[in-house]
Amino acid sequence: MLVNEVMLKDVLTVQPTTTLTTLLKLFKDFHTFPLVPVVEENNRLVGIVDLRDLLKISQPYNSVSGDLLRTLISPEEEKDTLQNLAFIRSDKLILVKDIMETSFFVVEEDLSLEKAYSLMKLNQKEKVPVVRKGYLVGILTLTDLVFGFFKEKGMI
Amino acid sequence: MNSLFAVGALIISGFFGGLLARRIRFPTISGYIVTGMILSSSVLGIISKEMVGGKLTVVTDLALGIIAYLVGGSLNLNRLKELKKSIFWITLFEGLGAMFFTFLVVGLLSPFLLRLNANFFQTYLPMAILLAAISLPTAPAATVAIVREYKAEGPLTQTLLGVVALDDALAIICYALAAGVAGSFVVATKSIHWATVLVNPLIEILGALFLGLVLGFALIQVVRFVRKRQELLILVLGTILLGSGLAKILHLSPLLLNMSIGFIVINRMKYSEQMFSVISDIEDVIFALFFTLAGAHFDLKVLKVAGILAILIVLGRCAGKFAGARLGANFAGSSETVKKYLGFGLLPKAGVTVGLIFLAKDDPQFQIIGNLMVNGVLASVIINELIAPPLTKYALFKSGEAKEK
Repeated sequence: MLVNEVMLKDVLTVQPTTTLTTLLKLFKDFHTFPLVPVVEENNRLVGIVDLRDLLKISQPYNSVSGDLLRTLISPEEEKDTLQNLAFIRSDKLILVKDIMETSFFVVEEDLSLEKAYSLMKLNQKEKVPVVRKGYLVGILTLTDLVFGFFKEKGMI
Repeated sequence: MNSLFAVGALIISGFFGGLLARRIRFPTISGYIVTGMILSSSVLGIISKEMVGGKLTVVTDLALGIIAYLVGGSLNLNRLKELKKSIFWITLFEGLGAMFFTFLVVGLLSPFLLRLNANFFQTYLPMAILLAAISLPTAPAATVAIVREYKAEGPLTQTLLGVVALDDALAIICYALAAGVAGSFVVATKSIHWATVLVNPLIEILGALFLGLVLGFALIQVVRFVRKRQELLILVLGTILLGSGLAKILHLSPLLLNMSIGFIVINRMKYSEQMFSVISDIEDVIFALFFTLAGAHFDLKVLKVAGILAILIVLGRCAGKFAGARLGANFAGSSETVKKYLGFGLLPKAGVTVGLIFLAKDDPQFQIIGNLMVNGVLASVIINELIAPPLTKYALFKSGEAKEK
């Protein structure tokens, strides 16, 4: 079985220019904050936003160079603390592109479920965007994977 | 005292040193280094000299291998393509500028100021060459912290972050070259053959890159058998150690070799995020140990001479960073703000600098000048951390990119 047979195809997405306020309102009623793919108008995946990004909001990490920096050693204090939120002024316009992660883990849609599961486990991720040559086609969660396995057994 | 006790003492006291440093708003690294100094044989005497230079060098080698692997992993070609061209030029200019000026200042002034009673070609010249390469890298931690604190944004901030991210890789390459060249001066007895001065470093560099490439591809093949994250750590760490060890046996540059492994993994493996994030699971303890141990090399006896050397390094490096950044920004056609203020942001240094100086110290060729250089560089790191943050702050505010807190 392949990833695209079990993934969630109907995905809520935002654009880089969506405001933080819109994003927050969009997901206010969710029980947990989901992994939100950020796509351009043509559906090309350019970033993701998750709960941690909301906490890392006052960091200069929202750029290509920021991503490069993150891999280099800098034993510094905890990056995602609630204190970061104290720096935000409510009247400042914050866009999704200011907080999204631009370096992230994705899987291709034609990957086998076993391979996808093993990669997610190694990366300690429970949800991951699914792409076809860089364009978003779905989202894969651990739930989808487990259901996929049971479906394969004919139990569902 | 045994080495286990030393390691335990270094980690635990380093933790509190780092905590204290953050309280008074200093980078964690400086907390580690100062703590090490306090534990050193010159102050409290908890960590003996034999320990620092003997059994515990394995800690240094491990930390260096990891640093180099991570630097290689930051060189993702797909992402580098998205950076502006100007950043590459500016990195080259500011890096080589810092090297050139440090070489000039240390090379020309140290024979008169240090009075070591030594031969210029076998002592001062190799020292100037090594210290020049070691002055190249810029530490992101301090710069990033300031950028974040003042919510700076704009072309200066973007250029600053890009350059800081790139120049570690440049530093590792330049150091490999410099060590080779400096080494041929030290061992030369009568006449120096220019061929060996250039050929030996080249063999060391190409050999390290090639072996790194082989190990990198081998690692990619082997990780297919991995099922758990913990197993992945075994393989990645094992490969890094194997690489460093092989480099020692074959007299190649261990940094360049591990950088090459990281570079291959990030660019040649389809899903490679976990290959680097798995290291971050353990890096905190290794770096705490590494930087505290670095501080433990502190030696009161050479402090006077090392102090002078440190001032020379700081002067040469600052001049080089300013001149190089300005020249590079001019060449790349950057805005007036970038030209004027970029140099200020490039002064902080720490991680890779400390790493490179220990590589030099552990190299048997540089045994005689090793201790002096270590103390000089450590002192210059501390001086830098005192003067650099206010200057970075000044630049970001002057350029109008930092906002009032």
